[in-house]
Amino acid sequence: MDGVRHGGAAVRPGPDEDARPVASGIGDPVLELQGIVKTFRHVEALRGADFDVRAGEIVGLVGDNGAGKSTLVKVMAGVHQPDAGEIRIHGKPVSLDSPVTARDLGIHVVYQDLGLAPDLNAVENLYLGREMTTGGWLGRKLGVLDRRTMLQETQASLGRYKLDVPHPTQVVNTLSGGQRQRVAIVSAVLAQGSVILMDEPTAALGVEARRRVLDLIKHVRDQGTAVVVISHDLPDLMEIVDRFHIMRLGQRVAALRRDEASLEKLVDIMAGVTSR
Amino acid sequence: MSSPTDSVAAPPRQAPPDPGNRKPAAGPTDVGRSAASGAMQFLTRFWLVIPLAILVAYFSIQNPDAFLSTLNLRTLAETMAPILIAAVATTYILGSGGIDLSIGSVIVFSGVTAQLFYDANGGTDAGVWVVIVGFVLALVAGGVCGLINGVLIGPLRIPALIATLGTLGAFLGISQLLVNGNDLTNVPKLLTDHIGLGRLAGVPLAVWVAVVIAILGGLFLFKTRFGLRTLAIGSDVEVVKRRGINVNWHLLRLYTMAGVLYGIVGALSLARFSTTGISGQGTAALNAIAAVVIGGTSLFGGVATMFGTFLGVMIPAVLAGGLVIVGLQSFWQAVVVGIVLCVAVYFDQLQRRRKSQL
Repeated sequence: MDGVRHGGAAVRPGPDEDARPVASGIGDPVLELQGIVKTFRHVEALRGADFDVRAGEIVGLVGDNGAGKSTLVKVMAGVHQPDAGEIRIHGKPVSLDSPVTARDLGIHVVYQDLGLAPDLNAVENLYLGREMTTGGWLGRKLGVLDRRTMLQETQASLGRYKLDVPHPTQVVNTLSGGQRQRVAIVSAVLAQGSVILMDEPTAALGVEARRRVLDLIKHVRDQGTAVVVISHDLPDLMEIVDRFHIMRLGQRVAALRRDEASLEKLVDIMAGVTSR
Repeated sequence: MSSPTDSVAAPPRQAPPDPGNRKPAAGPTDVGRSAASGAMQFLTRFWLVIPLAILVAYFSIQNPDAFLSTLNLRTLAETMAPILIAAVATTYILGSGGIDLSIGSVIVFSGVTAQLFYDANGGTDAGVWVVIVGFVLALVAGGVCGLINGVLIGPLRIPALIATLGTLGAFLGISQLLVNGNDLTNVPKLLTDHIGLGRLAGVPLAVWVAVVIAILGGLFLFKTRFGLRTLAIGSDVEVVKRRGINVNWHLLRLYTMAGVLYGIVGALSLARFSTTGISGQGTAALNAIAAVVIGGTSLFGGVATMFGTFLGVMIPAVLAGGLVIVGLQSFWQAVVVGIVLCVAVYFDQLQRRRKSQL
């Protein structure tokens, strides 16, 4: 499983770079899964699946429906607990017993429904669940929101990572689909995610919005984050990913660098016509 | 306290690079907005002030001596007070995507609880401490009812509509069992004289209580984490769960808090009417819900406005007070309120559709 060297991926700017040493694309895996088995009643969704992703690379997780992609992602997100197998973060075995644990360990998921509350604005969404408070002891007890600081921090982080969110104080359901997708991705980045899992990030987007979302994903990768993209849209993936992980019948059947992959080859492996 | 977003402090905008689609003034929060556009925004959101102003003006012109008399205004405010308190709770509950039909029964149950305590401790002649303890008991009784609602809706996941439909009957039934179906009327004189008839600066005490609760409720809704999470739950509960927020615990607290507020109404109405008024609260929940929805809080959660609720409570009250004065039957109030309710929800839907099409 060779990673791919990436030009601009070496250093992530910002004060937290020491806390989270970033390997170039070829370093040790940030997140690694080995021999994952997950059975639902009598259905074996995962039958010894492996997976790994390094800092500063985009891995495209592909496979036919029912191949086990979403189960595998849910295992990584702490939603499902595997029956067997090992999960390692930065080489250390961990147990992802809940989504909160996974998130605390730096694994963030951008779900297909984006995980944004439509009636809140972008800043409120970014901080929901870890709101900042103001007003001293009493303010903390009452939970008085420090909206000013939350907005300033948002804008500062956006500047630091050279990201942009349209209208951070505008209610999310007034944003377009592409804008919402970007808010969701940025929120995972700002929450200090070291691995970001994205479920169909370009589904149902127009040409221009798709372009901007793909650019943002590449940008996030270039900042040193490990990115996993699940998508049916192989041409989109061909544009951005560094490696493909191809799943079939609950296992990873192949891992290809982008330069080794072609649409035909991917489809053949997914369908089981050829193995690697 | 107009919308969750309105209260965001405007930052020194440093124009982050945004290729393309940044509007010149981003959103309603910018400091630099002109007074005119501010007023426009206020009116789009609170268009209700216009019909309200027309009503008040009409009644005042028709019969200034009667409508604007101290007596009438005071009665008007007194009628509004309990509905406003219940409506504050309802604003939170609708904002969280829930509903509470049990309001009236909780009000009755808290009143009955307090009065049973008074009856056991001197009845009409109960002393100061007894009166105070009884008042607190009413709040506790309300809180317990709210807690039960919260358990049913939160951990047990019974839809709020059904859970509170159940407790609407159950709490009223329990109250009737406790008093054998007859209203208790030996309300302590201290309570009726000082709370029921009490005034501060000429304004009935209950009105002060209601106004303070409404203001605090509004601030708490838009300034605190609790308020933000309440609206977030109403907006998309799954999102909130994924952020690691304990939604059940939140709902438990929310419904308990609402119950305490109904308990206050129960104690106040005991003081005002000198009776447990078992059959007098049948429409309390519907009045509160109508007022809140008229005010612009979404029936589907996620959006709430306390100022709107205030306006929504005023319209039926002004109608009730005014129609009789201009010589129309007061039954018209129900008709007009019904129409206003439908128009309000229609406008709300229209605005929302337009917004999400952007």
